[in-house]
Amino acid sequence: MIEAAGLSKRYGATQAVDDLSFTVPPGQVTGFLGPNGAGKSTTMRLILGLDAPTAGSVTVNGRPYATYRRPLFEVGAMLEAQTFHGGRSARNHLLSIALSNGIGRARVSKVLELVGLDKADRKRAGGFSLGMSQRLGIAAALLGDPLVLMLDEPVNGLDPEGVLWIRNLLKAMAAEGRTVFLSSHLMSEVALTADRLIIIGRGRLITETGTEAFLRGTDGSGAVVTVRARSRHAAELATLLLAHGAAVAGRDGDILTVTGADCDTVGELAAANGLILQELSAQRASLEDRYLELTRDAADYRAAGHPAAQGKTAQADRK
Amino acid sequence: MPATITARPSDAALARYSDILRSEFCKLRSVRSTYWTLLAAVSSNVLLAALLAIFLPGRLSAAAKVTTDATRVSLGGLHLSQVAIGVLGVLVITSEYSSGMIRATLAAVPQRRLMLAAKTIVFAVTVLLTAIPACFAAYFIFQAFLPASDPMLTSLTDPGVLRAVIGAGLFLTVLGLAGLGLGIIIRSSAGAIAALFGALFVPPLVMTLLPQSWQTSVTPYLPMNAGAAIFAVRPDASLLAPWTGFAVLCLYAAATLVTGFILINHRDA
Repeated sequence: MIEAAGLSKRYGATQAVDDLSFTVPPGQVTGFLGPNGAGKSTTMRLILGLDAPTAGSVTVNGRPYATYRRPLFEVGAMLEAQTFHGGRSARNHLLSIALSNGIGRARVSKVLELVGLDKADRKRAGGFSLGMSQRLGIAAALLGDPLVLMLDEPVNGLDPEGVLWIRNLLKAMAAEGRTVFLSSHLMSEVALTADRLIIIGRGRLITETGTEAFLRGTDGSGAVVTVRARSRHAAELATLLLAHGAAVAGRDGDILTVTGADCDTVGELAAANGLILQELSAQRASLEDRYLELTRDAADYRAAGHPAAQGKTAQADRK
Repeated sequence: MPATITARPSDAALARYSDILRSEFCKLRSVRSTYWTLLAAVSSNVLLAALLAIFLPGRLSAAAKVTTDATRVSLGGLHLSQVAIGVLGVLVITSEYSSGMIRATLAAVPQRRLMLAAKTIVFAVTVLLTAIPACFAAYFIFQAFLPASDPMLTSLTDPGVLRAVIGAGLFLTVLGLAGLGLGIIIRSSAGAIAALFGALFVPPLVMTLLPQSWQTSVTPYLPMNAGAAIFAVRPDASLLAPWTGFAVLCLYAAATLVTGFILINHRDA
């Protein structure tokens, strides 16, 4: 469980995080979304006590992070920026972190195996590809077998197999009752993994919602999901949909763009009337559109209210 | 609550401190710069001592040999080894900042001063255990390479000689600690190395611009002169008494470390 209350961080003239309050509950994967520069990495640094908040507070399992004596057992974190010395081998990097919390060599070998770096464990980490660096970061996060797992952009640079692996790992961790918190600037990636979403823009909370509700457009944020249906009977289907209260936003030959009905409704309606569907899909683009729309609104609001807060600061880029 | 795979170790203070020390030692021994700088320090001590013993006797008059501080000459390699140890002191902390490792370090040990204390102890012990033998090696090699019955031949039992040789090792260690302190404060390798060697080499140059009376009263307290007192056997007007000079050097190092320890809790990592 991670709880932030009125969390704020200002670097010079820029408000990186602005009065952010949210809860990351255990037993679920919570996605932390926002455009680049929205304050996700800063928030994670605040959670870990690496940076001190200007105002507000954040606790992990009820206590500020800095009060833990062996914090790796509480929180395993992977930050977006590189956090290893390029001249050290993967094994020695992990061992130096593990030893500080009283974690032994056996566990280091275990996590190296778990992330698939056991063959490269003696190599200098400086020569690692982006994907291998990510795996090393994830290995470090897993060292203490923590109750809370916090990963900043974990799929960056991972190959498709790696992406699938991390997705399944996170889901399994959450299923065991752990708190899983992952950030991303890609809505589509997070939608596949997260049960809940915390969306921020320009350091402010935009919405905290369930992923399902967000996808269905029933979270009250007012955006609409579209469904793409291709059928040789497009005209008849359009009539039926209209009769059912859905709207047809557009028709391009056999292809209908439907709003106000989800895939289930459209499919059932077609089947009940004996209409063959060649294709039926919820529009991924609309998901991204919704997300962009939400974050753009926030950006406009912020830009109008605080002209100085535009763009990332040097401090936020320092990472 | 999920079962934890690894057995959770004790939170007892002593167990934690020894774990953090082991972690810091693991870091120190697992990067090449440690071996390169220590090797440079040892080999410059030894090689300079051998070269000086071979070439110096032929160039000095018999009278000059009698008045020369032969022990201090045998430790001439310090001019180079101090650079190597100073750089290592800086790097043990600034490399964490330049690589980003510091964030992993502080996430693992949020008690920042505890981590710094462990780093300081591990560095000091490692340097001490390298520098003192290296200084003895320099002394004995110088003696061994001198021609028989040369007036510069000394014995460890002569007054001040043993203190000077051990003191040279202490000097290197404290100099390295000053580098560590500056590294903690400045957090950039280049900046901290420049500051350390600026503080060592620039003040003597500035002194030459000052009136003679100021020079004589201030010069012994400059970091370089204060540090040199401990490995000088013969009296020298520009140096304080051996242990007084060493104490002054320790004060300089302590000032940088204390400043660094204060600052680390007040800055974002």
